[in-house]
Amino acid sequence: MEVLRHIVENTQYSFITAFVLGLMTAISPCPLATNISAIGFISREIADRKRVFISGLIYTLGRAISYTTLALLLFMGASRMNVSRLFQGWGEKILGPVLIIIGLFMLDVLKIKFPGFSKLTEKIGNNGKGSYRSTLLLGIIFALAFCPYSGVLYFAMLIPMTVASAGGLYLPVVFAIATGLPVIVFAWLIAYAIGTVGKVYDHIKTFELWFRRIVAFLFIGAGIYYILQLVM
Amino acid sequence: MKRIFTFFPVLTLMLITLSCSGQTNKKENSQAINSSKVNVYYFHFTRRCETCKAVEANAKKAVEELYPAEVKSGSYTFTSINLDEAEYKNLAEKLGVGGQTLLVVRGDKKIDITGEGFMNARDLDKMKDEIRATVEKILL
Repeated sequence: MEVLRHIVENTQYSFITAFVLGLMTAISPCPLATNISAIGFISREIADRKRVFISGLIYTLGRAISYTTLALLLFMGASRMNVSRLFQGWGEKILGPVLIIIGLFMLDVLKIKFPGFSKLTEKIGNNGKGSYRSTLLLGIIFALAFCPYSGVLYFAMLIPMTVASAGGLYLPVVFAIATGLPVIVFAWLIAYAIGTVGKVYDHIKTFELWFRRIVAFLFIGAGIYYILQLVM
Repeated sequence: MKRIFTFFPVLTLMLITLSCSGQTNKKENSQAINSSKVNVYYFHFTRRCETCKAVEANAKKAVEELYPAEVKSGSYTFTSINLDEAEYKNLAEKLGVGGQTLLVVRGDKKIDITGEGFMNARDLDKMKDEIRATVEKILL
C-alpha cells in the first residue's frame, strides 16, 4: 500500500494514477468480501478455464460500465454532492441483502422470480451456458457498492481527474481494469488448481457442484458480514 | 491507450459527442460563516474504514498542534461530522459535501483536501504539512 501511495503522489501521468487507485481499491480490506464473492462466482465453472478467464474480463467490463457511466453523469453536470451521497451513503447498505438473496437463489432455497432481477439469480441457479450476462451484472452492482475507502478513492481522487476535461473520460476504464485484475488472477488460479485436482480424480462434475455450493454460502456469508457491519 | 478505445467503442463515441464541460455547480457559502475563522471539517458516514478513522485522528491532531493558541481561542476549529445524522444536512448542503470529505473553510472560501488527507492518513507530519499549506493558501 505504501508503494502504491508513493506512486500516486509522484507520477505525472493520470492513467498511471487511475490504475494505481484501482489497485488500491481492489486490495484495500473493505471491498474484500465482494472481491472474494466475485472470485468464487467467476471461477465457479472450474472445468473450463478459458471460460473463467472470459468471465473475469466480462466482470471487469461490468465494473468499467458503472465507473464510466457515473463519471459521464458527473461530467455532464450531475451534482457530485448528490451522486456521491447516494452511492457512498447507500451502496453498502443495499449490498448485504442483495448478496444474501443471490446466495439463496444459488442454493435453490428461493424460487420467486423478480422482474429484471431474475436474470441474475436464475442464471446463477441454473449454472447454464450464457451466464455471461449475470457476470456482467455482478460487475456493475459490485462496482456501485462503494465502501468508505473506495468511495474516497473514486469520488475524491479519480473523479476530479476524470471530469477536468473530455480527454480524461477514459480514466474510469483504466481504474476498472485495475480493480478487476486481482479478481481475474485469483479466479483463474483457483479454477486451475481445483480443476487439475478434479481431473486427476475424474470427478470434475462433483467438484463443480460442491464448489458452486461453497460460492453460494460465500455470498450469504459476505451478505451477513455487510449487514453486521452496519448494525454494529 | 488506443487499445482501450477500440475495446470500448461506445465510450469513444461519447467522447466525440461530448465536447462541452458542464461541471459548474460551485455553490457559494452563506455569509453566516465568520470569515476570521478557519474551520477544518471532516465529513463521514456512520460506517468507516480504519484509514478513515486515521484521517480524523491525525487531521485533528495536526490542527491542534499547528495552531494551539487559535484552537484555544476558538478561531480555528476542527469538527468531525456524521453525514448520517439529519441535523447536519443543512451544513453539508451549504458546503456542497456528499461523501467523506476533508475540507478547510474560511468565510466563503473552501479547499477540499480529501485526496491528500487520505493519502497521508497515517503520516502525521505529512498531514501537518498539507493542512499548514492549505491554511496559508486560504488566508491569502
